[in-house]
Parts: sequence; structure tokens; C-alpha cells
Amino acid sequence: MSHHTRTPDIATLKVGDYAIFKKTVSPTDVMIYAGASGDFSPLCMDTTIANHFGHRTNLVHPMLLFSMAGGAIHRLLPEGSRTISRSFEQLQHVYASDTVSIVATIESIDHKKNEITIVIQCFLPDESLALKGLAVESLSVSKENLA
Amino acid sequence: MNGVVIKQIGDISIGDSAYFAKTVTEADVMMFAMLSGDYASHHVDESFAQTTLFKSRIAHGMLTAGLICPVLRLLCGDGSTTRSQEIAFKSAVLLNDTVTVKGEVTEVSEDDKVVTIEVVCTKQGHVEGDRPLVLGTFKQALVV
Repeated sequence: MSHHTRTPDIATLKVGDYAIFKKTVSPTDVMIYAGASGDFSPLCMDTTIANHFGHRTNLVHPMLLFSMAGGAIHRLLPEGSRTISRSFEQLQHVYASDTVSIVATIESIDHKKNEITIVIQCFLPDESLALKGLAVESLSVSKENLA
Repeated sequence: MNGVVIKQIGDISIGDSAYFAKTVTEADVMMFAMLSGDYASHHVDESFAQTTLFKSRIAHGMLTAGLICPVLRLLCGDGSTTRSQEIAFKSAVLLNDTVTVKGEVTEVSEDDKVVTIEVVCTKQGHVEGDRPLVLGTFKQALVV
């Protein structure tokens, strides 16, 4: 399922542009992610164990939340952008069935390198911040760093 | 599934290492697109991918990064969680590539129970000097 193909053009972007990806992270999402990543953490897979350690239900893998930044970035940047680096910091746990809003906002644009730095924020419904991070994306075509 | 493995900070030493390997399939990539909402053409559109340098769809970078988590759990146990991470993507993973993750403990902070792990991901056929797929630094907190 490809939406459409756009030519990468850094000139169409400006600092402050943003996109939002909102999703309810279902228990099924957590299970599917475990299968794709091989991360069968008991705190994410087993409600009994999560409860035992003081959590109200299964945790969402932090890396799954970080991955959902891609959903916002995909909506923000032209087709063909590539990830150079990402860094994240988790501020609080997110639980299965929570609805999160991932906001990707352009912080800076390096026209020489054709690179864009994007602030990533993941909000819970009470508007508290669950994670924050930075993504650096390139619009240059390069076989080495395409990811 | 095995039982829960809980490690204390004293159980972890600088130089500890662990590995995890997985072949990244088309099913993995499509499921990951569904989970993440990232339906970029070079991940999901074979006809578009045929026009790229790779002549193939490539895996999401964060899908590859997700393969690091089993290594973090092997090193720090099931009662740990990732506090922060920095990931650099160096090369692409094509469909059906096998990714091997190596993690090594480089720092153990007993005061705040945080373990620093350096990670390198490589693909099949990798030899010394080849470009890795991913390099990362993870701060893993023991929360249980």
C-alpha cells in the first residue's frame, strides 16, 4: 500500500512544519511487535507479571513507540527521505490500549547537507509527555545510509 | 517462553556481551508498516523499490533497531527498561537479509542502576572492515 510518490524537495519544507500520527496501541499490536522484533519481554507479554511488578497492565515496548515516530515523519517529509539517526528518551511508561499522539516537528534544515532535524514527542491523552527524541532525516539519495 | 529473568546491578559487568540474529522477512516489514504507520514507498511498494538503487524494498530502520531489544534483555534481564538510546543508521537492510546484533556492556552505574550498552548490527556475510547496518548506544535502567 503506497500512498503516492513525491519528489524529495527540501525547498517545500520549513522550520515549524509538523505532522501528527495518532494511534491506540492495542494488545494485539504489542504481540505482533514482539513477533517482528523478537522482544518477548514478560512485562509486555504477560499481564500477570506486569501486575506483579506494579503495572496496571502490559507495557508497550518503548521501541514500538519510538518506531511510530516513522508514522509522523512519513506524513511530514517528501517520499524518499531516509533516516540518518534517531535518539529517544522515555519519560513514562505507556500501556497496552493507551492512545498516543506522536508529533514530529521540523527543528532545523541543513540545506548544504540536505538534512532535516525533527523533534519527536509522544503524548498520552492527558497531554503528558511519554517520550521525546530527535530524528535526523536526509533527502539525499545515497545507497549507504538508506534506512 | 522461559521464566522471568531478573538481574541485579551486581550481576552485570563491563565486557558482558550477547547476540541475537533474525532474518527480516516481507511479513515483518508489512506488519511493521501497519504498527508504525510508516508506509513509505521504499518499504511497501515493490514497483517503486525497483526504481531505486537497491532494486528491492528495504526494511524500516526502526525495525532493525527493534532487533536490538532482545540483546538488551539478555544482558540486563527482564526487569530492565530502556531509558534512552542513540541510533545511527549506516546501511540498508533488504528483504530476507539476516541481521545479527551484538551488544556489549561498556559502563555500569551502581548508584542509579543504569547500564550502558554499545550495539552493532551487521548482515550476513559481514567481515571485519565492512560497513555495519546500525550502531547504537543504549542506557538500560534496572527498574525491578
